[in-house]
Amino acid sequence: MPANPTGYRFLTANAVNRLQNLSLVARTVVDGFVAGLHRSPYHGFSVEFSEHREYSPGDNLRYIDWQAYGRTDRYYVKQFEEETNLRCHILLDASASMAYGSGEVTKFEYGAYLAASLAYLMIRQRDTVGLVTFDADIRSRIPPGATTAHLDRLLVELEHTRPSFGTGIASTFHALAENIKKRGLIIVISDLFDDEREIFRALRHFRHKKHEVIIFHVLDRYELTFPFARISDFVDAETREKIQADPRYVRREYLKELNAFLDNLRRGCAEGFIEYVLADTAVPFELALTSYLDKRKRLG
Amino acid sequence: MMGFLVPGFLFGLALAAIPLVIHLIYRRKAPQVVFAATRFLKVAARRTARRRRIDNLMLLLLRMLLLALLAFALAGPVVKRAVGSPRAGCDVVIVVDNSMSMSAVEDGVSRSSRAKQAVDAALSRLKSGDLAALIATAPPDADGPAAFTPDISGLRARAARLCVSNARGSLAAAFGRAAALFAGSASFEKLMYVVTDLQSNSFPDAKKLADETRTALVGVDTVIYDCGAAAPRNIAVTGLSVATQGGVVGTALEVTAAVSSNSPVEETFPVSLLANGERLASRAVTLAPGSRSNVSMSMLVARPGPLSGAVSIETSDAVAADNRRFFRLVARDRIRALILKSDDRTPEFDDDAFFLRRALDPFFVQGGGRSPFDVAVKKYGEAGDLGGYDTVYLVLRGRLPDVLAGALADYALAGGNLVVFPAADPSAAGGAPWLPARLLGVKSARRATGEAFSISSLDTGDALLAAFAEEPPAFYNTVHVYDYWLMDLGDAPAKVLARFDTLDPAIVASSASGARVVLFALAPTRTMSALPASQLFLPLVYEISYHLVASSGVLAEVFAGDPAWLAAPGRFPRGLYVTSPDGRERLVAPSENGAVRYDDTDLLGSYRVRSDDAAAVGAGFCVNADPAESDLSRLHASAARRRAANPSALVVSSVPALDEALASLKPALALGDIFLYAVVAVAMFECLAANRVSGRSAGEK
Repeated sequence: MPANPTGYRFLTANAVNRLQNLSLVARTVVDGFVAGLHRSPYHGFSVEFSEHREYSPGDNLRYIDWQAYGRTDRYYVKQFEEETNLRCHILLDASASMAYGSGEVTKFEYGAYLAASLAYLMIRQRDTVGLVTFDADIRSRIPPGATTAHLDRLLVELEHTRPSFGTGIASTFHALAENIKKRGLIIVISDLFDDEREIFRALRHFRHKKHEVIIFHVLDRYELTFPFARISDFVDAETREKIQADPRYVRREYLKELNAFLDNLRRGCAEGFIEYVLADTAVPFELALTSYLDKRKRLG
Repeated sequence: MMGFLVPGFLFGLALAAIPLVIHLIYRRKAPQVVFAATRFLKVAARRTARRRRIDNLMLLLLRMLLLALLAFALAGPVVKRAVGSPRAGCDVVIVVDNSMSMSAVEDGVSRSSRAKQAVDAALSRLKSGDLAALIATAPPDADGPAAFTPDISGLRARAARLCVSNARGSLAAAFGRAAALFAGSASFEKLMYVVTDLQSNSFPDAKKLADETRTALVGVDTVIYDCGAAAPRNIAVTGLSVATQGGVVGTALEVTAAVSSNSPVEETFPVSLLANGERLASRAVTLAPGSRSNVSMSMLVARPGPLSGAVSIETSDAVAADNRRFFRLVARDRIRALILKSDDRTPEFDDDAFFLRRALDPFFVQGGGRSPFDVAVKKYGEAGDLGGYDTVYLVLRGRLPDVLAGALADYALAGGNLVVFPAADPSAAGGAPWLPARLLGVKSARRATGEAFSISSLDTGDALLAAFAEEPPAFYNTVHVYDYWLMDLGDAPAKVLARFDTLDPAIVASSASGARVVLFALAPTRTMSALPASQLFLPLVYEISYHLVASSGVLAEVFAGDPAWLAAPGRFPRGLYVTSPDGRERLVAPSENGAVRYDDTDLLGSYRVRSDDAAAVGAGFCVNADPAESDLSRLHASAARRRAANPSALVVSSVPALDEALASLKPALALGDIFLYAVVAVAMFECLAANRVSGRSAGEK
């Protein structure tokens, strides 16, 4: 990726331009404390009417609906939905498998670009965003914040993170699910090379905690198509295990396995109301991101 | 039982290991690729391992099988059927050695009569349906038609008529003709008899056989019938040289004969010199076992005219034909020499002709002695007819009239001797265009190493250098030393005396034309030659003149069976009459290119040649036996098999043994084609299998 005028490696001018008119609107209700674009389950006194409830002593008299009193001869208090800010946690996989890349960028770099862009987007719309990098365990955790200085901190952290070690998605997610108290948006950026059942269990843990979850499943073009031709020793990026294979023979089975894995993920995500986005590193990340956000905006 | 026609190709079986080696190398050298999604790859590899192993093994086996089958097919597998199975439709070639060595008589029986018995036996063992051909190794029968025929009785009659030639036979050529016959034969069974005396000199080395001959003879059953016995006693005159002083009446003639003996004991026998039927001299010669010796005898040339002579050994040995060797010359009263000088009015003593005349006839001024040279001196314009002169000396100064140039060229081509003293170096650009070397159309010249021509007695070459060794070095610049070469004139071979330093031809002796020209290029920068500069040179001129005349009287001998070149193209358009030693005269017409060539040289002796106006052409020629045929040493059976390019050839020496050999021959079934079809089939399977593997890959991309 070329050096960009933003001064940060993973936040490109292209991405910034493209994200100018897009906002990530949480589909479900999230907790928040800063008024923003997101609906809050906590009824307060805001612009948007929610429901009536019977007056009880102590309620502010300014919220009594006098028209309702005229119709029913009872005191009702107007309740309003509070627009609150979004608390977003970006979970970026920094395991060794993410270091693989057949093209210009590795999966990790691609994920980092995504994370930086999303963080920028969030903070621009005054949401709070935090970053968790993990491999077999949580490697770093930056709690959500909404200031420009916070964005700077996130971006610096992204730049200093190098993918290494194995993957332990399930255990890490369980730990995080317990730690993130307030409801919010969980964005997972990973190649998800782990046991699918464990992954789903962990994701369901997030859902159980009322979080909205979006998964950016980052895969390399070579992983998606397996275009190799020569018989080769394939070395696992994490375990260094060697597998000699003749691509002419294994391609079909490989793609079958991979597609089964992807189908499982898609199905599982759909069942668990988890947004699933397959991100191919051969597609420019800003294109992938904006098209996803566009689609999401259209769907409301 | 399986055999192979070309077992050497079986080494190609080792090539079958190549696919295996390549497979192992590629397996070992597989590149390492870091990959993240190995969890799917592992499952896929595990699931496809068996299929991959089977496919790879199948491909490997197919490729190994392909190479192995190819090696087998090239090796020419042959399955021999059981002994005694019916033979039918066998093509048989009988090669009969009828060279001079086959005339050897052992125990009262000649080798040729044994050969005829063998041929008869071979013919009588042919079955109905068999075809046979008879090939002789030596002329004239060697040129007879050779074709497979079912007419066995005709072949038997031809074999009975077969004469032993005085020529050297060529088994190589006979094998070539047999191979050509077999190559055109569709028969499954091929048999070749070689009826020979196993003479070492005549049995060709298999390596010298043409490739197509060797190939065509592969798979042909060969029976070598040995007609000879242990090398019999033979004494022969194997070489002859005649030294003359121009063949002038009253001078001596020294004849040196090389005599050899292969007798196991010391032999003493008389050697005689015969001339025109008279015994002139005789000497007893004693030769140690297996040795050779030179015997010299002299005679006086008594009268002018043709002289037909011979050296003869009077003894009874195995081969009679090589006991006599012939020579022939024309004796003359005096050597008629003409010195042609320019018309320039130069002082007499400043002219080469002045000194030349004194060199050739020192007595002409005093009138006291008698030189062998009868010298006339004429100017260019007064030359007249040159035909009557034995030698013409041309002192070349100024422009040579065209008429004279043409006359000189005709004279040289008709066999005249021309000695030229050119004003300039003849090899320089712009040299005289009428020089015989150019007239004869020289195509290329090659060094004839060891080709001793009688010119060696001229003391040219090293000997000449030795003669001048005492002279100051500057003198060498004015003397050209000459050396002998063979020259290719197209159809007729010629011998050339060439400048030693530049190899430019200077003297030409062509067997077709008889032209002999000597060019003396001395001191080309001067207006006259250095002829008088050294007394050493005058004897040399004298010697050369003798040589020219003498060599024009003694034609190089022709070996029996070799052609004799009688005249250059166009010289005798109506041909020449040749009288053979048996007194028969026949007209020899010019060949296609106009040269006159006489081929029927089987009869040994002196041959006379005349033109249609009864004028004798040269001295005629002599036909002598090839000395190689006199060497009767024989090959062992194993060596004969090797040389016949057939290690499994059967060597027999009697008719019963021949029957046994024939009984042991097993008809063969050639499997080469079947293996070739198998190669094609396996290649197709290999392509299909390889396509299946690569197609699987291509389809999934």
